[in-house]
Amino acid sequence: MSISSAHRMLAFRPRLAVVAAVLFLLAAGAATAFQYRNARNDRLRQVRAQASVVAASVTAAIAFNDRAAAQEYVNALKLNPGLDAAAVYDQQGRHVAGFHRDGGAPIPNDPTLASASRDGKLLVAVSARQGAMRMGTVYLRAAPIPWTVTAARFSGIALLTLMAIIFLSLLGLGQRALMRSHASLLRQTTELAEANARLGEEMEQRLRTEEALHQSRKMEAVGQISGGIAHDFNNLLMVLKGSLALFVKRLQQSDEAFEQLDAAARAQIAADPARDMQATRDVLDSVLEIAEQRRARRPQLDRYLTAAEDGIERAASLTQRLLSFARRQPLTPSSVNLDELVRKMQPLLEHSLTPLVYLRYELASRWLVLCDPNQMENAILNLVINARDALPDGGDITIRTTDVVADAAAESEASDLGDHVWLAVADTGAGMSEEIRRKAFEPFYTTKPMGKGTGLGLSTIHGYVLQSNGQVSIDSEPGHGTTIHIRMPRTHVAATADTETLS
Amino acid sequence: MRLGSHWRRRLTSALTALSLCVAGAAWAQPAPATLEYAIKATYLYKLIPFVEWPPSAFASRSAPFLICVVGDNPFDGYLSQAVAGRRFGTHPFAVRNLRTLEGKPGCRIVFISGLHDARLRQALAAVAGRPVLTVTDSTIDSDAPSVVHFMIEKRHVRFEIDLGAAARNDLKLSSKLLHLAVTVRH
Repeated sequence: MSISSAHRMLAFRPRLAVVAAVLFLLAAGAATAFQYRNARNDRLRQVRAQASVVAASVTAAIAFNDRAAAQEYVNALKLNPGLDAAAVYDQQGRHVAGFHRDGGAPIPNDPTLASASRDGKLLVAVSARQGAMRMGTVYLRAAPIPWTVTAARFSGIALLTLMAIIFLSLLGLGQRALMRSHASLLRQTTELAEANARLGEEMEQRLRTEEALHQSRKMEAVGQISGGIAHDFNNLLMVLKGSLALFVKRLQQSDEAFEQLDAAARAQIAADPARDMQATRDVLDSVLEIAEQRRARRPQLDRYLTAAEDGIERAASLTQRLLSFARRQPLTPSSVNLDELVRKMQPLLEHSLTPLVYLRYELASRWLVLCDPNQMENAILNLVINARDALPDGGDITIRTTDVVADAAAESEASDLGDHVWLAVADTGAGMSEEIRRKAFEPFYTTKPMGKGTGLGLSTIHGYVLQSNGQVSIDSEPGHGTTIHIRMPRTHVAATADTETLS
Repeated sequence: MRLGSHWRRRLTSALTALSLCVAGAAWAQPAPATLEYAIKATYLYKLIPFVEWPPSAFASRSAPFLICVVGDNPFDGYLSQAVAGRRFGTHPFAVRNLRTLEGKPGCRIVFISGLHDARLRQALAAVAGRPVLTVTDSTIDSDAPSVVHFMIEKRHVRFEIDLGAAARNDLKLSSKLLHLAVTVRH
C-alpha cells in the first residue's frame, strides 16, 4: 500500500518532464530577450553618455568656431572601436568636426533626431549646451556589435539552458531506470512472497498427508493386530462354545443313565419282592440319592452354563466387530441404491431418536454402489445414534446423499474415486476438537461415558467402508457440529453378487 | 607632440574660420570690418554661458542683463540682433551704448572698443572690483588688462584671457573657454 503509493508518487511522468523543458526554454527565451533588450539599452546609454561627454566638452569649440579643438575632442572617440562615426554640428547646421571609419558614411545633420537604429547601427544625437545656451549637436554612431560578441553574451544562457535540459533528461532517465528497477524489485518480492506462500501451503499439505499416512498406517497396524487377535480369539471362542455344548450334552446323558439304571433296579425288585435285596436296595437308594442331589444342582449348573454361553456370545460379537474394523469380516456385497436403503431404514432410524432430535433427509442419489447392505444399514444406524448422542439438548441430524461426477470429484479430496455417491450424516452438535477428530476412527477410542460406548462404532464403519473400496472422513469443528462423509464408488453392475468373503 | 598638434589645430582653425568668414559674407555686410564685428557680436553673446557671475551681480530676478558698449559702437546693430528676445536665466538682455562708465550703470559686460591708454584705463578702473566682464579689442594694457581681449590672428577672431582681472571682478571662467584662448594670463 505504502510501497505502491510511493511508487505512484515517484513515477516518471514524461509529460511533466516535457512541460518542464518547454517552460525552461520559454524562461530562457524570455531571459535572452530581456538580456538583448538590456544590452541594447545599455549600449544606447553608453553611447549617449559618451556623446554627452563630448557635447559638454565641445561647447566652447563650437561657440567660438574652433574646429581644431572640436576635432581634438572627437578624435578621442576614435579609440573606441565600438563607434563607427561621430559628427559635431553648430546651431546653424554647419559641420564643425567629425570622423567616420572606412566603409561608413558621414553623419548628416538632423536636429529632430534623438536616437535611431539604422542598418543595425545605433545613432545617437545629443545637443551641446553651455548653461541654457544651445551651441550645436553631437552625433555618435555605434558600429554594429560583432556576432561573436553577441554569441558570447548569449552563450551563457544557451549553455545554462542546454545543461538544464540535459540535467532534466538525465534526471528523467535516471528516474525511469530507478522506477524500472523498483518495479522489478517489487515484482520479485511479490513472486518471492507467492513462492513462499506456495511453499508454506505445500509444507502444510505435506504435513497433512504425512499425518494422514501416519494415521492410516496406525490404523492398518492396529487393524492387523486386532484382526489377528480377533481371528485367533474367535477360533478359541468356537472351541470353547463347542466344548461347552458337548459338556452340557454329556451332563444330560449321565443323568438319564442314572435314571434308567434306577428304573431297571426298581423293576427287578418289584418282580421279585421276596428276594432279600435289602443290601441292593440300600445301594440303589444311595445311588438315587446321589442322582437326586445332582438333579437338585442342575438349575444352578444351568445358570453357570448360560452365563458362560452369554460371555462367549458377547466375546464373539466383539471379535466380529474387531474383524470388521480389520476389514476381515465376511461381506455379502450387492448393488444398492443408498436412497432406497435409507428410506427402508427410516422407521428404525426414527425409533432410535430422542424427542428433541429431528432427522432430515436430503436424498438425491440415483446411482448404485456395491456394498453389503446389512453392514451399510448398521453403519448408518451407528452414525445416527452417534449424532443423537452428540445432541443431548436436541438438534438436527441430516442424512444427505449426492451423486458426484468424476470431474467434480477431481476437485475434492476424493479425486481417486471417480464417479461416486456421497453420503453424509451431519449433526448440529458440539463438534469435535482436532485431537478427537484424529483419533475418532481408532478402535476402543470413545468419548462416551464408561459402559456407554464400546469405542468400536466408528472404527467398524471405517473398516467396513474401506473394505468396500469406499472412503470415510470426518468434518468437524468445535461448536460447528460434525459431519461424517462416506463416499462409495459408483457401480454399473445391477445384479446381486454372490457371497464374497474378504479377509 | 602636444606642441605639433597645437600648431596643426591652430592652422585648421584659421582655415575653417576663413571659410566661415566667407560663408558668413552671404548674410553679413560685405565689408570685412563689418564682418569682423558681426563675429565679435556673436562671440560676445556666446561668452556669457562660459562665465559665472556672483549672485550679487543682479539687483532682482527680473533685472536686465546689461551689455554695455563704451566708446564707438562698431557693431552696427549686430549685437542687438544677437541678443534680441533672449534671456540670461530670468534676466532679459539689454544693450546700451555709453560714452563713459561713470555712475555705475550696472553693466554685466562692458565692451570697450576704440579707446586707448588713459581712456581705456579709466574705463576699466570704473568697473574694477565689480562683477563685470570686461572685453576689449583694440589694445591691451598689461598693467590694467581686461578679462577678455579679442584679437585677429591669421584673419581669425580669437581672444586672450586674463584670469587676474577676472578674479578681481569676482568672475569665474569655464576651463573650456580657457582652453580656446590664445593666451591665458594669470
